[in-house]
Formats: sequence, structure tokens, C-alpha cells
Amino acid sequence: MALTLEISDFVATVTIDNPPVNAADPSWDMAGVFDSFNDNNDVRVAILTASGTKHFCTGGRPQRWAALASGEHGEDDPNAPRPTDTAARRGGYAFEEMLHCSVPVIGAVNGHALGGGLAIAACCDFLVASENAAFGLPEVGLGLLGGAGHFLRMFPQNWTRYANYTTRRITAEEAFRLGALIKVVPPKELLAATREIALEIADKPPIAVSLAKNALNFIEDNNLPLLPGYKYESAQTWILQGYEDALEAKKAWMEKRRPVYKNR
Amino acid sequence: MEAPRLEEYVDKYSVARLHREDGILQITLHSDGEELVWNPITHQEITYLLADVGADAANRAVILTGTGNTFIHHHRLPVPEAMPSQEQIHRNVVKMLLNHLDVQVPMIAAINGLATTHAEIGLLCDIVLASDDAAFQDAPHFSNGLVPGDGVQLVWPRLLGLNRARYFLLTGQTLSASEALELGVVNEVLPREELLPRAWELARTCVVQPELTLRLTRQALLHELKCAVLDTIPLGITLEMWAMTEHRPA
Repeated sequence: MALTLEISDFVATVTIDNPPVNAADPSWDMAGVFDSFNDNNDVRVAILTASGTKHFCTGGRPQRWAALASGEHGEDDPNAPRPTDTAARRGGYAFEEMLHCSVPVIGAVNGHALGGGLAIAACCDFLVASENAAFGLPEVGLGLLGGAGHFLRMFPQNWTRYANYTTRRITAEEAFRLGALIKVVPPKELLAATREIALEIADKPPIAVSLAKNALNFIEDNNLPLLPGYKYESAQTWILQGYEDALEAKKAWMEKRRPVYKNR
Repeated sequence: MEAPRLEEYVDKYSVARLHREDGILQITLHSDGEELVWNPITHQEITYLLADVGADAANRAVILTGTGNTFIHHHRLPVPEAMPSQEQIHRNVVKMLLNHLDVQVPMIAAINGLATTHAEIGLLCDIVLASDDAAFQDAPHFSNGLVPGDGVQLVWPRLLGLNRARYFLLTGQTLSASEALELGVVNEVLPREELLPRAWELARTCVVQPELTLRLTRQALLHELKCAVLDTIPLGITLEMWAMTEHRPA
């Protein structure tokens, strides 16, 4: 019942490991894990995946809500969902840190991403998935709501509504066709295929990648049209030129050699 | 991980002394027990302090004040090795404002003197009290050669109106406590020694409200401002940093 973190070759791999279905656990400090990448020069890109081949993450446990309705929870039960509790806000913090941390987050979706698990997948910069992956929002069928905005980040409006009201799961093949996935591979090849992309990103000047993500976030967060978005990105370009690594990237390209980046 | 509890963060931040009584948390800003000295590390500490304060459900009202004759006034850059990275500074700017606005319960500022730097940390509180010798200014930005982009450009126009705020930000104008009261920037002006007792009195009137009312009111009041922070501040700080690529004050 854990989140594990492994860092090598500038790639951080975060693995959700909570058998049997990788349900989300309110005790995970997912926000803290992604926040820590902001200060860690050994991390230039992150992969988020999960153990096993059936489930990526199935979100929160509906039993918690059932127990709430039947009054089984005592006053101080930390598992009881309540409108003010910080456990409920922690999901939001996790989304924020994934979306806004300084490195790209690639989701390697190894199975079904449902409910809160779908929301986690949707907060990645982009997704690679195994053939048996699927994406769905079971909430409505259980008398709950949540994740519609996240679903919209991956899928078009009408597919989101269809999946939300019917609770039908979108298969990896359908998701690829709809543009929600970069690649679909056999389960055994998932991590290698994702890592290959991660290593390509880790090869780029880290500060450039970080500011590129920042610019894309600002454009997305504010629904900016092309020109205001471009102006923001241009301002960031000037900031980027203050870094040694930005000069090193150009020098190495001109001198036809491999660049050496110092995070400066 | 459980939500943070006071005993876990009470000694975590060098920048603030924390004291809680009857669910009311008093945050007293200081540097080594003396008047606060502002720098990027202070900024970072306040950012994360506010996150802990906001996540701890045992806080039912918050009082924010300073030490001695100043609220936030002095500046000194830390040694270069201790400086957070440019990206971290960039992120902290947005995060500090969001973490402030994310504290769910009523916040009361007791501005105990000069507030010439990041006065918005006090002014974003729901009730703002000031001592009669308090004064407000935006010292670090335009008159110091910097673009006002990290929060002042959002908060002051909302408090003063657009033209008064632009005058204030461009000319380095100082507003006395009584002027600030007249302009609606602060709610009450009191002799220094009456400031904290009045803040506690007001906090006690807040904490008697039902739990959900207490926690959801600030969300209702501040949602629009939270959206404005996300809309405005990343661009503002980018422009501030862009200008700094040409000129960085000593």
C-alpha cells in the first residue's frame, strides 16, 4: 500500500502499488512527491505508473461513502469523507503538483484508470498506455460525481458526456484514436517504451523544458488565444537566455557535440 | 500521511512564532526574535507555513502580525548558497498567494507598523487592523527598478481603485494608517497596544460559528480572487523576471 519512487538517469519513476486494484489511499503524499522534483536536480522528467497489469488506479473507495450514508463512521473516524476534511483536499493538491511541478510527468497507464485514478492520469503531461488500459468514470453509477473536467482534458466533449453518463470505459485503442494517448504498446513493453521518451526529454536543457511546461500551463490555465500565449512564451524566452544551459545548448549544437548541462 | 498538526509545524519555520488558543492561531512574523527581515527564503517559508496552517483543521481562525515596529519592512538577501533557485522563486510567488487564499478559516491581520514590502500578505486577510503608526508602501518594485509583478499589481488596484493604485505603485507613495483607513485599505486603526487584544476579540466572534459555515465562508469570499491569481500572477512574475535580465537592483 504505497507510492514508491526510484530515480536514475534523471528520470524519476513513481509507482502506485496498492493491490489488488491500486485504489487511491488518502495517506499517500503524492503532492509531496511531485513537489520534491522542483528542488531536485537529479530529476528532469517523471514517469507515473502502477504495479500489475490490470489496474492503473481505481480512485477512492466507494465503501467510504456508503459507510457515511449508513452512519457507520464515528465522529472522529479519519476514513469518513466529510466536506471539510483535509484528506478530501489532498487529491486536489496532488493534481496541482503534478500539473505545475517543474518537470514533465509522463503517465504509463498499465491498466484501468477509473474515477480518481482517471483524474490522476489526466494530470500527466501526456500518456503512453498498454493495450489493456481503459479510462472511465464510474462515479455517476454509484451516486457520486467527479473527474469530468479531468476527462475533458483527455477526451472531446461528447465522448466525455457519453462516458460520464453511461459510465462506460473507453478502451486504449479508442483513446489512441481520439488522440488521448501518444502510443499503445503490449503490457510488457510499456515501461521501456515510456522510458525511451523520458530519456529523450532528459537529454534537453532542463531549464528550457521546465519553462516550456510553465508556458504551456499558463496558456492552458487561462485559455489563452495564440497571440497572448505567444507573448507570455516570448517573455519566458528572455528569462531562459539568462541561464548558462541555454547558451550551452546553442554552443553544443553549433560545435556538433553533446551538451553538458549544469542546471544553471 | 496525516494532515499536519500544530506540534509538527510549530518549530518548523524560523520566520514565525505560532501560538494557538481556543482554535485561534496567532502567527507572529520575526527574524531571530527581532523585526522580520524579508528575502526569498522568508518568502518560501511563509509559502509553506500557510500550506500547513491551511491544512490543519484545528485552526479555526488565524491572526497574522509582525514584531516590534514593523510588519514587513526590512530586506537583506541571504548568502548566495542559501538562495532558492529562480524557478523556485517563480513558483513560490503564485503558491504563496494561493496558499494564503486557501486557508479556509477567517484571517485577521494586525499590521503593527511599517508595511512597505509585500503588504498584501496582511491585506489579503479578511479583517485588517492597523496600529496608528502603521504605514503602507510598495518599496521593492518600480521605485527600486523592478516591475511590480508578484502580487502587488493584483491586490492594490482592488483596494484603491485602478488609478490610485497605479499612482501608489509608480510614485512610491506612502499611505499612513489614517489614510489607509479612509481609503478602505484597513478596517480599524488602534493604538499599538490595543491591536492584538482587538484581533483576538474579533477572532473569538468568528470561531463560535458552525464548522462548515466557518470553513466555507472564506472560500465563497475569495474564489474570484483565487482565479485572478492564476490568471495574472504567472504573467506578472514573468515580466518582473524578464526586466531583471536587463537590470537587477543591488
